[in-house]
Amino acid sequence: MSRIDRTQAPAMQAMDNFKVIEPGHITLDNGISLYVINKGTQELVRISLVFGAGVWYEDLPFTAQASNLMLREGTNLMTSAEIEEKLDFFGAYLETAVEQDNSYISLYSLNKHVHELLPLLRDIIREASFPEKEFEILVGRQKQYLAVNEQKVNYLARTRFSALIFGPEHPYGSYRQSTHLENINVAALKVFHHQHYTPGNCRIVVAGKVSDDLIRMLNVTLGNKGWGNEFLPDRDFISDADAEFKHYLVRKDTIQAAIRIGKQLFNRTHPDFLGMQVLNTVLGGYFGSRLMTNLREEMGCTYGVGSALISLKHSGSFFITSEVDADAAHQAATEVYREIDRLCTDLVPDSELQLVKNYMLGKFLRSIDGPFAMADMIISVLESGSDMSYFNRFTEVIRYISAGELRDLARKYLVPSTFHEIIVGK
Amino acid sequence: MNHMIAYDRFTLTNGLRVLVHRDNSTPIVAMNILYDVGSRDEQPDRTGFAHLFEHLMFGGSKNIPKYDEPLERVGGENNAFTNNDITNYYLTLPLQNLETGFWLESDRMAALAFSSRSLDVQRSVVVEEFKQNYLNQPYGDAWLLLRPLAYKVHPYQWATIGKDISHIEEAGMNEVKAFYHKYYNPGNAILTIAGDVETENIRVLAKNWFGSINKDHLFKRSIPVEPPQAEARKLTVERDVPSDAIYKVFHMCERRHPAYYASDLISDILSGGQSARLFSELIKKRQLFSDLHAYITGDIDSGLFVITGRLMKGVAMTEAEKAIEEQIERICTSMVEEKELLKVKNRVESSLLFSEQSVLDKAMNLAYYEWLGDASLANTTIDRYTAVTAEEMREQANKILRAENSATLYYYSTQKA
Repeated sequence: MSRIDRTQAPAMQAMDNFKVIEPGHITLDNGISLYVINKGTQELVRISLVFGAGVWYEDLPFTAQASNLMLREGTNLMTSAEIEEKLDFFGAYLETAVEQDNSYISLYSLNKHVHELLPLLRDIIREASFPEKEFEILVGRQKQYLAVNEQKVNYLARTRFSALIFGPEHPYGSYRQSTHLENINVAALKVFHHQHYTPGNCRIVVAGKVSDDLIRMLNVTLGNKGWGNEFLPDRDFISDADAEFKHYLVRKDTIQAAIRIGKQLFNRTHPDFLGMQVLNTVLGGYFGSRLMTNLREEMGCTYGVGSALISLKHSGSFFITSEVDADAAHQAATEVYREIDRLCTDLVPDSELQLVKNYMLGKFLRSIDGPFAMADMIISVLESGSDMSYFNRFTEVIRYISAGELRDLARKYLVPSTFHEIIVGK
Repeated sequence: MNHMIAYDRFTLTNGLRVLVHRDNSTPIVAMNILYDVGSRDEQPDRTGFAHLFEHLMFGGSKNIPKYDEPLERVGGENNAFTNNDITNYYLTLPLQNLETGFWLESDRMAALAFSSRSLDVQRSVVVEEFKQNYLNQPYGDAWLLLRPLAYKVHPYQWATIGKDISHIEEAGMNEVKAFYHKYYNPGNAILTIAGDVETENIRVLAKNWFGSINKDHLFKRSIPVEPPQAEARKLTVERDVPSDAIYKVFHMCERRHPAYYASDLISDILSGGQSARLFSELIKKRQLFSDLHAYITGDIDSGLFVITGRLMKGVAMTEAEKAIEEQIERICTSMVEEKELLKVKNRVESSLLFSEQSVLDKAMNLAYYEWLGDASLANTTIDRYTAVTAEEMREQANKILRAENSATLYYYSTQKA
């Protein structure tokens, strides 16, 4: 009775049902932009505050991260223990993070408890008290984390690679050292907090099942004036890539080597960024990519290999990364360059290009599936200086870019003599 | 209840159970296939086999040379995991191409290709995975040491990745085939679909693609039961890591035992969130640890209650252990107060809700609960937690957190302070 033919793939249906919901946009009384993704099916929300308070803005390393981590360690009204007790009691999660450009504070809450938690969120951001004792504990723990990380080949390759392509003094290139943790103090954190956690430096993205009442409450708790409004001119740094292109860091007992190869590139606002995303996917952006096929499925020398295109506010990067059998490190690097050379020499065959395009369209659909995923996508687009038209350009470029254009991009940007390479191996 | 996952369920004549959840808020559909086989089903001299086999499932089937390619071609993506108990495969793709998922999954359930090339390569890949995640990470071998300390008879004594790299390197094609025939059949699998779908359409697709797979489901599982432990077990090792660590595990009930929920809440009292006892007392107040966690493994057979921490530099192991024991003493002797109990229950409620955000979450949850015995558990689990009393928790704490029921790994740093 079977009406199927197992020897043939079912006919593919076109993927043209893209609906990126435009987020609602509201300006709070103090000028903060609030983006609303009201799309949830469950009674919960995530409120994310994005501050221009990342590594880019710090004078001493670790200031941005420590300031962010210290927000939950005490306010003028509550101790660290009281804050955690309240969050846990209402089943809420507070996530904090610091990246190169931004700092984030996200509150996850059930709708039925959010009114209890908004005043706490407000105080954490506006009234953080930076207690000395909690700061000491934090520094002690961070030192231990750093010592563990410094023992991981992948961490070493990642941090040292950034230093190579941007320069160790550049905010995108500097990496944490134990002495950094000793050189900062509470006073410096307070200044950083006062200058950077301000309405003029803040965006809010709220996602989930968002009621009008919640928006009104957000305006009451975070929308008023009178909490810091310093004007900070943007800063500029000149990157200073290492003059040596090939580096080998010895960890004699390691049984796997970490490899990173790549260069400084541009961010999402560059006209070639979208095309490079397609090229990156072909090379190492999905399970069936050329690098995975070669290094994992043919050589069997790694559990995983990939390439990535990173968009930052003031720059960007492109790199290939893998952890491979320590004895195969040089051979793996050779294969990476061989795959890059192929992209510069041969046209990507039609069938492969079509697969990559469809894969990317599907991935895009997944990346906007669910309110939180969509919020993340919108944050990353807004923060790199783009706007919602990015999504239309994205689908257009994916649909129409040709193999010839991809080869031109490879020849323009994937020039091995411009690549820095670091291997952390035995 | 606002966290209901509504579903329909039917069983094909070949024994395949199918569950369907409708969510019309998304253009993505999720498909999950759970096979009831994990590392507990392995032989002691072939550990790591269930997981190695998971890799081979991507090495091509009778009509499809490469699993991933046709899926990526229609905008899909997939992955899989193996644990002690199950092997779970999942994929997401744009709704209009769902049938491709049926084609792919049914073909590899019907007839795997058994390519020796794939076996060769995947052995190497899994060896690299072993190195990357266990051998080449600071503290990465702790669980390889701890499992055989805690279990002497039950197969939970080895990790899913395997006891030893040699077991993976020596796996042969005959064993691969035997394993496939024993465990990869419709009667041993659960298929769930979540997305903007109609159950009747899924029924037709399931019948067409899976209905003709007629394979025997004959094996009877017989796994040795771990005897009660009579005295405390200890193991001391030294490693090139920055600071000392301690791992303490206790035997606890199986996943389907009624006491499971009280046991889980005990771990939450100790370690659920930054206000929990271990964090607030031993990390913050006394600064003995940089990290300290309590959790349960949640295995289907009798599992482990785990307390594990990394010591702050300069803290003696004896002092750290004593501090943990004092917390154990406290939860065994005095009743958890009502407010603290309500707090951990609130956290469970919200974590259950936040764990159902995507169609993939929901497809996986439904399959897991169906495997546990009944998919409706996905919606009633919260009630089990709510019903737990402080008295029940104290009783379970006394049952579980006894020295003679414990295995402790002292993991010392060889690095100078």
